Amino acid sequence: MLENGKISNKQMILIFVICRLMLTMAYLPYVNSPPWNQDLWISAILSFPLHIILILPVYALAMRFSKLSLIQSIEVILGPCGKILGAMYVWFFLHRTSIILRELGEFLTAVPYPETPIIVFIAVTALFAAYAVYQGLETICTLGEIIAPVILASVVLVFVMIAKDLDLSNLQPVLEDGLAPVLYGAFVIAARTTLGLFLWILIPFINESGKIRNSLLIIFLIFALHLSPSAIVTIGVFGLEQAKSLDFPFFHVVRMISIGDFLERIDALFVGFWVIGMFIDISTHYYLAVLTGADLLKLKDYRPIVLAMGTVMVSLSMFLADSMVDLNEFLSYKTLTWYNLLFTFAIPLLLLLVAVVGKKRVDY
Amino acid sequence: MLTVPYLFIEAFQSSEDYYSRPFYSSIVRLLRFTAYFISVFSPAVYVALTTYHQEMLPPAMLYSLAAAREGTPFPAFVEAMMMGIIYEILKEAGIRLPRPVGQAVSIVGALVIGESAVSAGLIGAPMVIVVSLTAISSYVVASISDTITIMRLTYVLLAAFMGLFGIMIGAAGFLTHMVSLRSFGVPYLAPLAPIVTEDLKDVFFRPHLWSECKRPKLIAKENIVRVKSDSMPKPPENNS
Repeated sequence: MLENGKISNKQMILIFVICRLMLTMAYLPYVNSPPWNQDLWISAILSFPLHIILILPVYALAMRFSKLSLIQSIEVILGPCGKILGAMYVWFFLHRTSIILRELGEFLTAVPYPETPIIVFIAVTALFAAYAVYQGLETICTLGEIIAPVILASVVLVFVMIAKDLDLSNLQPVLEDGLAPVLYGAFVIAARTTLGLFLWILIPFINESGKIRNSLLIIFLIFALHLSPSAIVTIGVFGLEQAKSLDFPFFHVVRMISIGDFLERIDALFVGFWVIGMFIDISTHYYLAVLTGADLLKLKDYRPIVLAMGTVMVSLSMFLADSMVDLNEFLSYKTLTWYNLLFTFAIPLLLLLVAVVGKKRVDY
Repeated sequence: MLTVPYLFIEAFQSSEDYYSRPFYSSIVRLLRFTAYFISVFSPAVYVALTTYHQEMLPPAMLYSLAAAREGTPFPAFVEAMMMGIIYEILKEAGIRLPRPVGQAVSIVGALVIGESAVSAGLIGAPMVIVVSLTAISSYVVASISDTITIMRLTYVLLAAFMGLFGIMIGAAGFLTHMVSLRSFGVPYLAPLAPIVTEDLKDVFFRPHLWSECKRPKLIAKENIVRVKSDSMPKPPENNS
């Protein structure tokens, strides 16, 4: 076994929530995606059932092969040809890690450090994340456990503190264009989740596998309950048109907070927490890429390839796009949604069909 | 006395807490956490604020800081590093010297280095305040003052290179390390990470003794009950 650690259900919930939330906390990419109007908060709530539907194939696969990792279960289903599919999944996580690294760098160079070259942030974060990956799954998850409550509490605090600047008339009229675009928006939000793959890889290490279904529901509920107020706050404070034109809508909301004359400019504190949260996010994705890669190469230990993969990630994140506009083009709903769906929905669905038809099953 | 396992929060729980009443003890305990954070982060935050994030300071404070640093020859990072190292030297010398000569160290430290370095214009007065605040705070949690020193100097270094981002990424690195530590099989940050909900009440506050009816879960594995659970004092039942 590549990893000896075990994680509890609580740790699973918190680490998944962190990985799902952190990018949204600064970028809020859904403002520029369907439904293109002030009904984004309804989409956020409606994404809850869609999340569940979209995760079903991976969930069924993970449950069917609950003692095997992603690569092993693919190989059981497809035989030796599974290697190619496995390599695609390693690429997926590698790519995702470098996207997140790049987004962290873009945010930091855009707002607090306009004169620093982006490679500094990317390389330093990747180096520290490599240390966390080196320590293993348990360390990353415990780190998530100590940081996640702070981050969740600070987000709630932001909602409370900005409440007085909220102009709810910006959210009217409700359901202006009917329900169809709102549903499309909910679909886009739900399709971006990669938590199913997390579950598929980590399921051999989860302590109480009986509670996984409930934990997933809790994770999606927390996400919907977080995204909906974020949308309300962002659109309520700025209005729809201005929110669309901002690069980091939610961050600018935090910047607007001003209570009395003393509680101002807390955005630097927010950036601080955001960096630590992103660190956990990056370490988790990094870890999953390394673990899957080591599994694919049939290594006994994943540690020798940690730094090698980190180097690839850092350089990939530099080559990924020329600028933030370029990056956002890929991350928009037009591309990333379908790209993610291929890995989180289409391939698992096919694999599940093959497994069910071929009666592939592992008995313990 | 040596007790194992030694956990992180034990540095903040002193035995006097349990002899005094809970309310004041809780305040003192929060004070210790504050002192810990001051002594770890304050030089680094000072360096980061004056070098990278001047816009975060209120204007009036920025003016007085800038006026105090007017004419000092070194950047804030060199000042912080220099004062930090000088303080460590003084501390070490104070421990080594025989007691009658020990007075000399404090006089040299306070007057010669503190006062005259400022009046000679070598070091800004705010830096002296920050360093002395740091030094005093680090003795509040004396049992982990060695790690505090290491962390403080590292944070200053990181803050000089990368500002608040450096501090935060350094914090993430140190947290990663602390989380991975174990003391006699018990995670070093035990009730905080992994979260043990039952034990959290004795971390930031000191609860009533009668409410602490269970031993720490990770340390006392099976033998978990300390006293029976309804030991809250109440008037006798057959009062006449």
